[in-house]
Amino acid sequence: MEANKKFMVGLFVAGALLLFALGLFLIGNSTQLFTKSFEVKADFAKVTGLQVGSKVRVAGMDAGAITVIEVPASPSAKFRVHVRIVETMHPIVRQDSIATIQTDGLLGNKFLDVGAGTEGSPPAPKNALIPSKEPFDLGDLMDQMSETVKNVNLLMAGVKDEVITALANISDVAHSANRLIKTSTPQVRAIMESSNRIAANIREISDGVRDGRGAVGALFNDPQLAEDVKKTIHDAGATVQTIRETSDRARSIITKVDDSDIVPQVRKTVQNMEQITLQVKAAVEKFQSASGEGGVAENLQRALADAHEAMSDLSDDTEALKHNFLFRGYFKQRGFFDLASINLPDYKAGKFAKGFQRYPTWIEAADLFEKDPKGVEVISASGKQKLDAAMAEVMRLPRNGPLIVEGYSAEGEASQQYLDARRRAVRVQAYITDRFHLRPAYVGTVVMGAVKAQGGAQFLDGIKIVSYYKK
Amino acid sequence: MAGAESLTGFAHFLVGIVINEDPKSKLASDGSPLLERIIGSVRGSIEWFGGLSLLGAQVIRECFRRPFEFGEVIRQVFEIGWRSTPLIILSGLAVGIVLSMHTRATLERFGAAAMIPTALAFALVKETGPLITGLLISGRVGAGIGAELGGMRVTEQIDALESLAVNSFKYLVFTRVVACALCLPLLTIIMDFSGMLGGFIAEAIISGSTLRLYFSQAFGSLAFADFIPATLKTVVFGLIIGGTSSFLGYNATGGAAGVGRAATQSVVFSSVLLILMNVILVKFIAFLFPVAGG
Repeated sequence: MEANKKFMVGLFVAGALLLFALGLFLIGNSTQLFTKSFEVKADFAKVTGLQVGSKVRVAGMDAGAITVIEVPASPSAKFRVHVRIVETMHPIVRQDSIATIQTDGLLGNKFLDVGAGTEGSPPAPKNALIPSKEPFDLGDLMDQMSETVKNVNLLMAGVKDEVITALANISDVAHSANRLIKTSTPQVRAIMESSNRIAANIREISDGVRDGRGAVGALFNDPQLAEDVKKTIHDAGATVQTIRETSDRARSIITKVDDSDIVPQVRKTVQNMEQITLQVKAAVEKFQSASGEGGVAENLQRALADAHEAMSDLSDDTEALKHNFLFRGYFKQRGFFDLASINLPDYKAGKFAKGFQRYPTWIEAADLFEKDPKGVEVISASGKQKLDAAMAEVMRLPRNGPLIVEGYSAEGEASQQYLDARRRAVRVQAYITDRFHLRPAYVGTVVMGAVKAQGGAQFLDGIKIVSYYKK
Repeated sequence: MAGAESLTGFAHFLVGIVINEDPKSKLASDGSPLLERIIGSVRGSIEWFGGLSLLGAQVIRECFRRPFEFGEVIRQVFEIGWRSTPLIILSGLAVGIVLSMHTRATLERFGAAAMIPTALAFALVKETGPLITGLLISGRVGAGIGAELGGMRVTEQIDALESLAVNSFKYLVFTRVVACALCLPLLTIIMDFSGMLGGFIAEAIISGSTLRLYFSQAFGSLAFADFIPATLKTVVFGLIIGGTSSFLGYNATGGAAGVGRAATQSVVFSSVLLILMNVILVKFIAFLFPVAGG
């Protein structure tokens, strides 16, 4: 056989054996078989698939293999697992390192994980028994869950009656609360309505203040008054200053007096004043009679009483002037309207609120009123809607003139017509005043009674809201 | 040879099954009753197995008797082992690449792409490597041995060797069987590493894995019980290939047609027996090394 063939065969065999050795080395290296190592032991009640040759990791790093698993001699004893760990890991394998059986990934092999110990604990000596933690098993978890569910069922069965009773009590409480709410609803509604009314009144007051009505309103809104007040305060300051100067001057004079011969002169003057006083006293005695009656004082008192009476008469006369045709226009120019005593003929003649634009709105009585069970005419719900619609138009106008509600009625005798017309006007006045928060002083009523429609024979039956305004 | 005729009949029967020929037509063509022919075939089969067993026993006996024919054994190792190496390396690379790609496609679905080297190593070392090596060698070497020995038999070269006082069995059969038994594990190791190298090439191209990490992961989960028994079982594969092929070639009859038949039967029988024996060996290894898990 030629040498070349032998060489080839040698190469083939040697190469293959080398590869075989390499494979053995790689496999052995993965289990740290050819590395200097030491052995420790750990006890487990269950090994859950751990086998001789299974990997050992120290703090997650491959560090050896399981060499022996001793089967316990009795059921209460534990498996003793002999663990071979590479010497390089010895410094972190301490006496308190804990061994646990874990799974490599979700479906991987079991391996033993030895945790790194604590700094305070000495390194684990060779063949030491290190502490272990029993492996977590899904079956154990299921058993625990089953036991828990069983306990919960028992608990539920135990408290079932109490729960039913509690639910019944809760239901009773809910019913009681419902009844209470239903019972108290009218009172609550009444309270709310009262609150609304109070709020409306407060708003009216604040509107009045804002519009300058009353002393407070004037103070807030009248610039002239504010200027006067400012001036008064300024004058008071000036007066105080003057008094201070006067006082200083008086002090100066007193000082001068003390330093001069004025004092004897003053004393002489005082003596003269005493004499004068005595003379005045005598004159006063003459002014008042000794009996207390008659005399100059009584005459003066009588004169003052007469003056008071004269002023009272003047006030009446002034009030009369407001209504006098000569001065009424003046007062109306000032914004004064005596809505309480509107003269019907004058009103009909169009003499009321001259210079103001009129915006009348007519509403039929049939659309506005209905009879209550007692037969009294009251504003119906549809009537309120019509009034609201009419007032919505009126409220767009400038609010610088009075609002008059004219009442019309043609049923019955004249007295009945008057009463019906007046009642209608008053009801509507009250409604719109309250509904639209109008100032009562600017909403008046006029009882028109039986009035025929213009160009017709029919009597008017209803109310007319007339808004006076200036553009 | 006393059993040669019955052996040929049994061979025809098995070959007919394998290549979908109708054995009944073959048996009926002889004109004998069917039952008689079947009994004859069964008897022939038993005789065939007996002959093969005797050959195996003779090979074992020859192991301890001089001359050991080292020169011829080495020559056969060269022929069987060295000349098969390129085929094994190429096949291993191809198998490794294909296995890696298939494994990646499967494991990626479970987010376990990091397990590819491990899975490939397990597949190659434990089963794919030994079996493919055995099948490849049975095809290449089994046919060669059957044809060579069959040719020598029909041309009476073996008789000539015998007349020269040369132990033809030891010189021709023993050396080939021993060479096959020696070469198969070596070729299996080459196949395993070639396959893993092919897998690494595929992984390096796809995921940029490094050689050290790849082989560390590949052998990290393997145990000796996974590697050594699976490799050494191919000694049995080698014995089957060498023994069956040598037996069929050494006992070939019928001229050139007999040579061709011996070559074909060598491949077929050695492959079938190899696969069947693999089943038994896997179970046997699992029994001996439970950690390996078969």
